[in-house]
Amino acid sequence: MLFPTLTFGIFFVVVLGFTWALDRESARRKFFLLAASYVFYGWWDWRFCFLLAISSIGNWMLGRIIGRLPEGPTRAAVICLGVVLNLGVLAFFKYYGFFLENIGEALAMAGWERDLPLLQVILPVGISFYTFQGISYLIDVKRGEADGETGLVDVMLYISFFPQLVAGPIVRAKDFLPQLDRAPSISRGAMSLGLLLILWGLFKKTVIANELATGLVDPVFFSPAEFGGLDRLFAVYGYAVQIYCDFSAYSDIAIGAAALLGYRFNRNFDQPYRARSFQDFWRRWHISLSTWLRDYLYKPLGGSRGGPFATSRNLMITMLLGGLWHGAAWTFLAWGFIHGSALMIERALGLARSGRGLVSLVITFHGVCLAWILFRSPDFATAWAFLTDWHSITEPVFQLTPFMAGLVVFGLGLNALPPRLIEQVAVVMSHLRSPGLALTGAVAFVLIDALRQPGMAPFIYFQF
Amino acid sequence: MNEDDDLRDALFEEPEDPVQHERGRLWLNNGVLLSLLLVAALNPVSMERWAAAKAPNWGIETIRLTTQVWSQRMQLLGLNTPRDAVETWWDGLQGTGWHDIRLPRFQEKTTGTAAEAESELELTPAASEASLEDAR
Repeated sequence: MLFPTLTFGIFFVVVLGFTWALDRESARRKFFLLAASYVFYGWWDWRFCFLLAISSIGNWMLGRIIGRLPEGPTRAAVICLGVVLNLGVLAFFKYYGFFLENIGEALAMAGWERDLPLLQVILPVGISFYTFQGISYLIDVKRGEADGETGLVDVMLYISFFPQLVAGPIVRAKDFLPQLDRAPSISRGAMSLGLLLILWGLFKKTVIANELATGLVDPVFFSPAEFGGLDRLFAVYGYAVQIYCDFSAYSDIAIGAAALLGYRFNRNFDQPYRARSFQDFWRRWHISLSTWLRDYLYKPLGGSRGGPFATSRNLMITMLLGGLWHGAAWTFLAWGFIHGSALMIERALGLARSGRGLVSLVITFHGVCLAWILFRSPDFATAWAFLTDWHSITEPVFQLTPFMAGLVVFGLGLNALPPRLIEQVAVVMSHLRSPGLALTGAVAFVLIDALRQPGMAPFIYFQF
Repeated sequence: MNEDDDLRDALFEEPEDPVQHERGRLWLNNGVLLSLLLVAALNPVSMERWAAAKAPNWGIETIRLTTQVWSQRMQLLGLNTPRDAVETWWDGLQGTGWHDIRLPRFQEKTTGTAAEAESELELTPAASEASLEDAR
């Protein structure tokens, strides 16, 4: 069930109505939301629900054990077991084929060709996200930030809550579980913000991201050698805008939908292309992942405490694993390597701390775009074809139309809007009466629906 | 202050008041219901297209036929006009090529410059005669 479809719209209105009807009956409300989340997830493939349930129940059981054990080697071993089990599930579904393929190639190079047990493993939607939430729960219990005695329904709902289940944001147990303990209560301002975020997300996904994907980015990245320099240049800029509008749209709709149901999520994007360094970029891009990696990987590795070499090593490990989290391909690893190297260089030269201007913004943006080429390309050959023969900049423009160029400029321009503009609009909207709210919402919705393409491409981050 | 506090929108941090919550809920309920009615009136084609894209069965076919009739009634009232106008404008934008783009000011300026250049050419002999007389 995709967010920007009428099917989801009907589903959400029904869930919203029932959830609010049950807002004084905490247990029933949670159970209803849990059932709705499984319906939402099972809409793709009902078999995925079993894996989700097993993962949730397993984490709940381990959380209880961790919560009851005193500090010591046994507790540490149980935590390790929990993390390994979570990562093992992720590794099997996501990296099994990739691992065997590379082992096979390595053996063939060494002259030992073997028939390896290759399996066609279906990647369950959102597994990377809910696995990370499971790990977050176990570690938060270990740190005393979440209660190990939390009920099964609460933990299952935390891991499977439908707005964030498939493509994040990655919600922390310590942030979400306390919200389940009380009846949801929400102000008019927060409701307006929720509605606006949903509409804004719909606009970014259906109007900007989908148009750019079909009209510019997909054709050029499919066969870059056939296109001249200008087409390629705008295809990279277009992809930067597309992935931002696509992924931030999902986060916005998720945050907005959760808000209307009475639950608060943290911001996941903050105008990333106005970053003036790579460090700044990671404070603005996929914030829930970057903070997760910071708190559960970078800091436990030692963070910046062990001197320049150890810091650089920790940064590189974090970014390489962050790259691999996105997908089982060497191109994602290379993407992580570029980001890791940039962060190391910035730290070594002290660039991230010094005051930086427009030149830094342009350099950072183009560095990020260079990394996006690897992220978008299916293999190194395509990335290489994209990056070479730029002398063909004199070749005629095939794919770039004024409309596409305008969309790219508009999409980049979104990053130059005043920060928190949408909150300010939400405050204004919250002063409207119901008919005014209805008219604003309806006009915005009809406009978006008139501008959108027929059909609906899935969100980019569904594949992760 | 928790370092993650600034990651949450300020509006989500407003104090939770049960009375305000009830009023807000009523406000949003009314807003959403009215909004659905408006969307049904202004955008009937969306529902019709959604039903047409589904695999046909008794329920979907009933919805499709109902929305078809509803859509025709709304067209008779002219309520589809705003949506159609936006769609036509958007399609026009998408079909615009580089050769269709005219920059009026630039062209005026170009035309002006060309005309000035022509008049300058016409004036050139006289100007040169004047300069010759000055020289004498």
